[in-house]
Parts: sequence; structure tokens; C-alpha cells
Amino acid sequence: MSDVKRFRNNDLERQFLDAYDQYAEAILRHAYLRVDSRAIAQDLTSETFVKTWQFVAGGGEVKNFKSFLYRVCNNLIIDYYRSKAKTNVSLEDVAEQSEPVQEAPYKDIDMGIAFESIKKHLDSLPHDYKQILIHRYIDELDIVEIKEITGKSMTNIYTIIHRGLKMLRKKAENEQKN
Amino acid sequence: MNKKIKPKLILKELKQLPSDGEFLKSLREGLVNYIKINPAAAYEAESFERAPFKMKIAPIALIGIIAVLSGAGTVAASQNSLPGEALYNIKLLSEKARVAVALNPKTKADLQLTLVQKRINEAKEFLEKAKMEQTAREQQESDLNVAINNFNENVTGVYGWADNLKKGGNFEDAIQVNSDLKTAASVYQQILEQNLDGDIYEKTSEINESMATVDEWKNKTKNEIEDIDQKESSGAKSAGFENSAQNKINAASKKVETIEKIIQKKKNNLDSQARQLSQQKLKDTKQILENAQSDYNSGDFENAFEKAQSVVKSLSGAKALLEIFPEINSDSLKNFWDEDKNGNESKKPELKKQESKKTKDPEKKEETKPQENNREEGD
Repeated sequence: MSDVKRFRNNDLERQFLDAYDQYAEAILRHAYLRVDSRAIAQDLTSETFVKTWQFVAGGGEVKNFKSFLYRVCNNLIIDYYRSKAKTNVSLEDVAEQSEPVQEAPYKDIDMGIAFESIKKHLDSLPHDYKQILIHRYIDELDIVEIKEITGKSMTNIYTIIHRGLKMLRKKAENEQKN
Repeated sequence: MNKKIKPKLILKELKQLPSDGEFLKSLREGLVNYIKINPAAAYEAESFERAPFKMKIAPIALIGIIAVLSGAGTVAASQNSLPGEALYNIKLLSEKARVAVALNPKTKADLQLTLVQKRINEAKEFLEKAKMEQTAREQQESDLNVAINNFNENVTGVYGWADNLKKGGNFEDAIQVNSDLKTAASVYQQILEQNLDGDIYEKTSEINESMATVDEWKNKTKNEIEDIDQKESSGAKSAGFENSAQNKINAASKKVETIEKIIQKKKNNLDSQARQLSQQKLKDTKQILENAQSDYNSGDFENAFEKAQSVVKSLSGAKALLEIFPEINSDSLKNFWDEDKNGNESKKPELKKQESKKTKDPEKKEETKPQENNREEGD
């Protein structure tokens, strides 16, 4: 291998591992909030990075690791929910059916009643509302990044954020009244 | 007056979820190894052809050499290699690195089960190919022994993770994984026995020893299934059986649905006899499950639990058979079921009765003709 090739190869590995160091925690947290199971979130995170490496190692170009990782993670989350719902069961699906429900990590922290209720209501929102609110306020992605990840238009994203927050507030206030 | 809720601010607080540092550290280490084995294809070495015969050197040095010499293209090319071929060790290392990246017991067990399945397909291909090439028999015997040892090594890996599942209280997964292993060992043994006819290979003492280990796995996994059964039963007993019985009935019902779907999915691969047999087996199983529900409704939780438990165990075996058997002819099917029947002395009375009925009537020997290679590769 020539020195130039080796340098580029090492550089790619370094970039990938830098991206890991920078975003792995955020990707894991994102997965936790989307699937509510520590074990599955960990699996999704490791799959996200394996698939990303397979892509770049196969010659694929990644301009923005942050958006790319979230996109891969999102696709895996969608696959996960599809595999749960699909009728053609595989060995893995059967395992999932019988898997005991695991405590989500946020339940370990006492962050107050408002926090608990927001999390509960966040889970009750439509899938894409939940995803976009998590991207915006927890992952702290800007609208352009969310657009890249979700493929939705910016107008659509703004609308979802606005409606999502309104729905959350309403649900939480109703609960407070009761 | 209620304090005004600001969801935007509270959402941001979710950022304070505790970090899982241990997991992230382990994953990073796994990825670093994975990258070493699967380096970037775009920067592949000029040619790998110059190095094939170096692949039999010590495995520790291999990782470094592979990292320098090979690219992802080589790893991809190695995936169809067979024991004794130059790229075979790369294939094994690539598999190990992939398993190392997964961190949860169930995922590890699943990934390694796909490797067990790979070893089965590999053995078939290797033995068929070896029959065509009747040269260098000693080398082939040595390669075959390596292949059997690799199978045993993969089974050891899965068995360890199944044990982990058992210790974590995930009994159903542990039973399914052990059933898969038991079936895999039977299938592997049959493939070896059918092909080691003395014309091509001598059964060297090493091969005999490796084959004995495959045989041991059948007993080991069978005992493990019984042990898990007992652990579950004693746990259920101490909890008064009621909740455990209902949970077990639910799990058994899901398992029945699963098998129905698998059979439905594979109906085109089943001849009319196999379809009939599988329907009969399912009907018998559903009957036991109905009895379990009746027992439960009448307050006999212990019997309900035991019946449902026997259904889960029996269907785990059936599922393993459907998933793992690469191809079924009447002889291999007969051998498998006879062996399974003889090895299952400790089943609950009602199930034994059902099975003895089937034995009298060869038509009622369950099963099916699953597709070849129906388990997907893990990576």
C-alpha cells in the first residue's frame, strides 16, 4: 500500500472514530428516547456505527457525519418497529415478543412531575412528531439538519414542531388539572 | 394557580439523561477491532494475490497483516471461502469482529447462531467439493477437522450467551437458543455421517474426537433445556403458579402463532404429506394449550403452567427444526425425529401421549421441508 493510500485510509478511520467520540452518546440517547429499552437502544447504536463504517469503508462519501449517523439510526429504528409489527416472524421477532420490558433510563432520575408527564406525552405523540421534537430540542439539530435526516420540507418541520409543542402543553395541562 | 408548563424547556431537560459510559467504551473498542478487520475498500492494497499462503500463520499476527494488506473487498471475497482456502481465516476473523461489536447477550447469541448455520452450510459444500477432488486427502482431513472445530467453537459461543440469558431470567430465549443449538448439532452430525463414508476420508482420531464433541453438544443442550424448565417451574411454584401460568399460556399462544406463520410462509416448500403432518402437530399442540387454559380457568394453575411450558418447549424444538434444517429428505427427517423422540424422556405426560400416538402413525410425524439457507446472515 502506498504511503498516500495508507494516509487516506488512516485519515478515514480517524474521522470515523472522531465522529464516534463526538456523537455516540447523543445517538444512544436518541435511540433510548425512541425505543424506551436500554438493550435495544444499545443494539441500534452499535448497528448505526457498524453500518456507517461499512458505508464509508465501501467508498461511500459522508459529508456530515452527524446528519448521516442520525439518518442511519432513524432507518434502523423504523426497521425495528416494522419488524415488531410485521406478520412474517423471524427468530428475532419471537425473542422480542417474549422479551421482558426493560426500564427506560430516564425512569432512574427524579426530574419532577412535569418532566415525567412530558416524557409520557411525548411517547403518545405520532411517530414523526416525537422524532422531530427529539431532534430539535434534545439532539439540538437545526431545521436544515432535520430536513436532511427526515426528508421533510422545512415548512412541514416547522408545522410539526409548533403543533407538537402545543399538543404536549395541552396534554400536560389537562393532566395537571386532573 | 397552576404553574405554566413550558414543554420546550422541559424537553431540553431530557438531555440530562445519564450517559452509559461503560457501554460506549466497550462499543468503541469493538469498533476499533472491527475496523482493523474491515478496513476501507477504497484504499485497498494493490493486490492480495501475493499473500494468500501467509494466512495460516498465527491468528494474533493476522489482524495486523490483514489491516495492512487487505481491504473490505478482501473481506467480502472471503465470505464464500471454505476451510483450507486462503481467505477462510479472514472470514472467521471478520465474523469474530462482528460479534464483538454487538454487546447484548441476545444479539450476540443471534449473531453466533447465524455463524453456526454458516458452518453447517459450509460443511455441506466442503464435503461435496472434496468428493469431486480426490487429491491431497490428508490435507482435506486436516481441513475438515478445522471446520468441525470451528463449528464447536461457534456452538460454545452461543451456549455461553444462552447461559447468560438464562442467568438473566430470560428463560424463553434461552430455551429457544438451546433448541436451535441442539438441532444444529444433530444436523451437523448427520451431514458428517452421510459424507464420511471412508471412500474419501479416514476418520482420523482428531476427526473422531471433534465429532464426539458435536455429539456432546446435543446432550448438553438437552440437559440445559431441562434445567431451564426446572428453574422456571421452581420460580413459578414459589410465586404460587397463577401469574406464571397465565404468562406461560400467553407465550405458548404466541409461539403457536409463530409456527403457524412459518408454516404458512413455507407452504410452497412443503409437499402435501408434510403439510398434513405439520397441521396435525399444530392441532395437537393447540389442544394441549386449550387444556392448559381450562386448567387455569378452573384454578389448577400448576397443571396449566406445566402444560403451557411443555408446549413452549416442544414448539421451540419445532421452530429450530424449521429454521435450521438446510434440506429435508425422508431419511434425515426420520432420523431426526426418532432421535429427538428418544432423547425427550422427561416431557410432561400429556405431551408424551400425543407424541406416542404420532409414532404409531408415521403420517403424524410432524414436519416440513424448510427452505435451504433460510436464516439470514447476520452481517
